[in-house]
Amino acid sequence: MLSALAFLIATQVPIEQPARLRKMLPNGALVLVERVPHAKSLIVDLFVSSRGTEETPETHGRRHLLEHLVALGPDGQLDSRLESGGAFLRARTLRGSTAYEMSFPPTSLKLALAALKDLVAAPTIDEAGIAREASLIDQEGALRDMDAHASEAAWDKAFGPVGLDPFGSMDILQRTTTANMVELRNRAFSADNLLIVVSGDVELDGTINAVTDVVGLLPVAKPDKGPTAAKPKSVVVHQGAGEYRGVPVPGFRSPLTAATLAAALAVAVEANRGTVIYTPSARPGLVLLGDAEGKLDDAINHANPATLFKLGRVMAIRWVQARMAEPAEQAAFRGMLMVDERDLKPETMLENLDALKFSDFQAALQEFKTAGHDGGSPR
Amino acid sequence: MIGLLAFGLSLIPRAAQSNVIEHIEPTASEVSIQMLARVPHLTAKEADALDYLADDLARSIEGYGKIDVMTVTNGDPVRVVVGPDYVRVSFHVLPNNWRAGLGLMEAIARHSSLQPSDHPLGVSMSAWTCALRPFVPSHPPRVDDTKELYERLFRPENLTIGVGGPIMPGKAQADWANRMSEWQVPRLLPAAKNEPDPKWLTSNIGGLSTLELAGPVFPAHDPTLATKVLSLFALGSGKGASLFRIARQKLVYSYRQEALLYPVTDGWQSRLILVMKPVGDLPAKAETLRGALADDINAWSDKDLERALGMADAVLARGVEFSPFAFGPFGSMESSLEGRTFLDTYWQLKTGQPWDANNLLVQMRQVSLADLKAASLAVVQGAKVRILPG
Repeated sequence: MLSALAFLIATQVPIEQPARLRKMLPNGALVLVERVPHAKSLIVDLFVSSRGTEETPETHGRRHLLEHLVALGPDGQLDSRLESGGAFLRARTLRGSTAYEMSFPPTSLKLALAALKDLVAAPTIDEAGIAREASLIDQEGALRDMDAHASEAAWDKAFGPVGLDPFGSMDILQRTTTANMVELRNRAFSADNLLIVVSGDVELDGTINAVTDVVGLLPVAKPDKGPTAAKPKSVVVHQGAGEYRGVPVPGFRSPLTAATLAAALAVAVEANRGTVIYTPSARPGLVLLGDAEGKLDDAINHANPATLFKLGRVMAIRWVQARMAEPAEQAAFRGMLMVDERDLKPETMLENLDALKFSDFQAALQEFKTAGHDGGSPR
Repeated sequence: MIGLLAFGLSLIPRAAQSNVIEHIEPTASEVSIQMLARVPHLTAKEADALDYLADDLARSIEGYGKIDVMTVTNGDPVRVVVGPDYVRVSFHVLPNNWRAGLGLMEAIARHSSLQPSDHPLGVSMSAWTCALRPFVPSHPPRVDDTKELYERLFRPENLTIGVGGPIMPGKAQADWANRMSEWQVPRLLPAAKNEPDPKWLTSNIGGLSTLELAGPVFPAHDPTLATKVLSLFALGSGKGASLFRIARQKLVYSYRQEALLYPVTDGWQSRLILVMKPVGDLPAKAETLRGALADDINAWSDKDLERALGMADAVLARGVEFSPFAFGPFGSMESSLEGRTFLDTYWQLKTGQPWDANNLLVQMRQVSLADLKAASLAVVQGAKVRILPG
């Protein structure tokens, strides 16, 4: 009996599940499930791409307003339900997508799926709710710091109307109607705009099937071609004593983006109070390098480029890895890339940094050096 | 064998005496190294020097160029921040580099050149930071004042070290104890007498208004700490919390509002803070808020208790954001290796006891709805109103 049992144990070799599984549903929604053994939390994030609902001067900020309304849940009680179950939701609107990021106790898949169902259901939209959330966005705007204002100004200067900040315009929000928001919501939540990322100690196939049950039958809206960007230029903006230089980059996948980010991070260390702002996205974007003391020229010109190269590459690798250190951050990072391009992943930038050439780094450094001169060079 | 064992044993008493907190996370990819220098009650002059000390501390370290520092930290910039009652230095290193990391930390503690910036610190502070530390911001101190404060704060008996990540228990303790045993510090000069205290702000220089209900102060070892912390979860953590529902959704006063456990010299203080656009009669708003919160608390049911426990579990056991612990310089704790290592280290520094989230949660689960209501009403009704108009 004993020997038979020993044999049985020996032959029952556990079949290793892959750590990650991705599935495109027939309606175009995408699901990514990541298995993290012994994870403390179950993470379920919903990303809604801005494809077809990009900001325009006429709609500026409505995606942000929609985020506020959707996060309340259809009955306005979603947060209370989540928090009673030890879960939490936070939402944010970026240029490329809106993210609803939720953290649950590790075995709360049922609660998580119910919350996901609430988020993709039609929210309650009425004039009173719009007015209340618009007032709160006004209060939220007052909290924006110098970096946020510099970023908004730099995008505006580099990209024009195509670079509108997703935070929005109070003028537009105060003139927004229920019909505007219902129409926006239906276009934004088109199934092919949706990505659901699940990360936790879960079984992959079963979880994908469970998520499919929630989003698999959602409708697809008629596609709307987004605005076309003119060729952006590098720019300089000032906020108080601080100076910010923005260098346009093609997108997260490009080696040029890796070189530009590495250059910015290295110079920021040379500056006394340096800062770097870059939101990972497959779309063209801006790497913003700032110095609260306004002495970026000193930082760029006095440092040895070879030294900066070594430093910048190490820092950029760390920048990527730091966003993958915690399961919740990693899920959000993967999601914000994948919602833009379905096969884009953080590792792409690590590969680019590994292959980064000194000449590419120097070229990126030069872009920061000459940013804003003669209107900057188109990239 | 006997010799080795004796050597090992001889290290134990020294390690036990050292102020090194080890936070072990075997699967972490880096090691977080932190140094907390306890800050006592400061005079206005010392408070002026403190922000400049933090700004200058890691700019130039004898024996370390910028690249040397980055080589040790694998590209992670050294961060120096002023907290409610400490100065914290922190960075990460790769796991096999923890000893070099402690070497760098020792150099910062002993051999900073305190090189001032070419540009003095500005007075730009966020409205939230002003509310947390409502004192008139620093004027440039004399170089000697900064140096004197450095020597007062950075001495072995005043430092607590935190090392977190995939580390071998006891190794960092032994290494740091060894370093400290070789550090001879000069005698401290007597504390200055008759120096004025820092001045309180009368308006918020962050450009926005802040409204605060500042609850009573209680000791670090308060036997009802679990009830008081749970009350802060009920009042301010999450979107189902009273502050969010009342101050934000019902009264539409503010976008950001928090209920915080804030460290003060005599222990802790419960603080309810709102940051808002500078409009309206703020004292009247404060009283409206106080009344509405009291009504809300009186109407709490078991569902509110359950929600507060759910949030406490999410924050304390799983590291979800929105902790009421305002121990960091800008407010709540981070949900990261650095944040967790800091919490272990700071709790030991503040209370003299190890941080034990599970024990606190067990105690919270014993709290009755009646006790939760009573503790929360005590905060709201006993609070002093602090208003900093923007």
